[in-house]
Amino acid sequence: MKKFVYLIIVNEVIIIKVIKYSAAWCMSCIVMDNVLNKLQDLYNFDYVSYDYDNDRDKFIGFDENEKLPIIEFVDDNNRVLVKINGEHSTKEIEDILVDLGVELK
Amino acid sequence: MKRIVVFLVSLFLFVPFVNAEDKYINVYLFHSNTCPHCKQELAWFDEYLENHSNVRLYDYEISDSENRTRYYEVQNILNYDSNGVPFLVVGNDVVIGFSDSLSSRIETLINYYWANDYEDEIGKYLGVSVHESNLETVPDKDATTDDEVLNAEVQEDTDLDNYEVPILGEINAKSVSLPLLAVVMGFVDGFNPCALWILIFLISMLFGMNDRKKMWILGLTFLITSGLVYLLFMVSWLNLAVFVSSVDAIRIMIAAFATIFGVYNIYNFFKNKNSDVGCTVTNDKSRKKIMEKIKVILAQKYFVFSLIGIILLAVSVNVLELLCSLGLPVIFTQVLALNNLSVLEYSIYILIYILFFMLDDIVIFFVAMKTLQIKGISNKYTKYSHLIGGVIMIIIGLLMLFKPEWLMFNF
Repeated sequence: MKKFVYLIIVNEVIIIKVIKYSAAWCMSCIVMDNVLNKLQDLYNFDYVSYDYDNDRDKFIGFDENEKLPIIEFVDDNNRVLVKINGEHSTKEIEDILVDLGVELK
Repeated sequence: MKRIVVFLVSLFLFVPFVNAEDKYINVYLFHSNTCPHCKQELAWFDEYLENHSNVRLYDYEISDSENRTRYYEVQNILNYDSNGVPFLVVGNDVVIGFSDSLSSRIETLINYYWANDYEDEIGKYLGVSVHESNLETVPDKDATTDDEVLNAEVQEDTDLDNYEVPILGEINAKSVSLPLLAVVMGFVDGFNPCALWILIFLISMLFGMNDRKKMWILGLTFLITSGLVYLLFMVSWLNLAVFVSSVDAIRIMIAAFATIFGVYNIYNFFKNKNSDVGCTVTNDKSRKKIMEKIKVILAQKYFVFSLIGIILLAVSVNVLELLCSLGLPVIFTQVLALNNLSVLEYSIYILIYILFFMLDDIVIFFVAMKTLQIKGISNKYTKYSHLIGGVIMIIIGLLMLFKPEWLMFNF
């Protein structure tokens, strides 16, 4: 059964959206595609992906030395709750979200 | 009168004695300062010559360019084609390599040629005293006319490198160590990220073609051409390495390069050990150019143009990306050069290296073509390949400097 990711701050319930900034030539991005697909199967979150070469404007504001992929977990108002770079396992991402106070249901 | 007779008889008796002492045989030894078997053979000759004043040894150290020219010309005269040292010429026979069993063969050959007439062509070419034709000889008691021995091309006795291994039995250090080195170094080198991104991007573009057959052909063409470019590069470097293998300065330079590059790789590993594993945006302009090229190539109306385009692309990008993985193949070919192998053996080891170098590309491509999904290989392996590559480079660099014979797997 599919689940949703909720961030519970006090009594507020916020649906989390995941934004991935990656590149077609980046091996780590492909690795993370598989991880995020698996997480989406589990928690059914909204998932947006931008490509470095096709959506360059979306990358403005990031440091040019930042490792790809960049993955942001944002709230309803597109406020970044947490940002991670590079490769992480499913478990690591779940732990990051739990540490943040997210309840995984 | 009696005194005169005694004198003449004495003179007569003395003549053959003097002839036997004056009669000598020249042997010609081509050797290298870095070759342990050469040192063994020279040491053996030191001892042998003390008791055999009828043998004159002319030795030529082949790091000297003139001696090297002589070495090849002598092979030409004798119709040989070898890169092996020690290379000993006795009469019209050659003994390559050195071991205890070969030393007795050398003695047999010396005795045979000392006892029999022959044309010392090598002596003539080298401009040293030529063995005079002699008819009154006192052959050594060990002399033999065994044609089998004399006509055989005497090769280095490989028993020296044989070791007894439990279960596996007797194995030859050289025949195991070099392929293993080819596998490990090729595999580690394969995690070079410089060229891999192009394959990844190409595969993602191939998915848009909707024609499995064309996808396979174009992808395989890219892989095979990339392998051939690498092969060409390694063969060229090997030729150079074989040519200069006995020049100490070059060996020291490559050893120093290997050690420094190894230290740099290990430094990089520890520097980035705790940083995120991911992709860094570099060479934005050249990458974009290549990506545009791939798009144009795949959009060709006629498939043959796409095919030619892929070949040209593979050649150009692999030549450009060679610098990215210069270290390991250069060092590997240097190790091969030190081992004085046959052309076939060189080819086999280089092909093993390239096969394992391309293994990750082959796996990624085949899995992608079968599943229509690109499965990534984590960049953390690239990170660890720097560490392993660095350690290998340092070990080989130091061995090249201090124990080159170990790189010939003569322990």
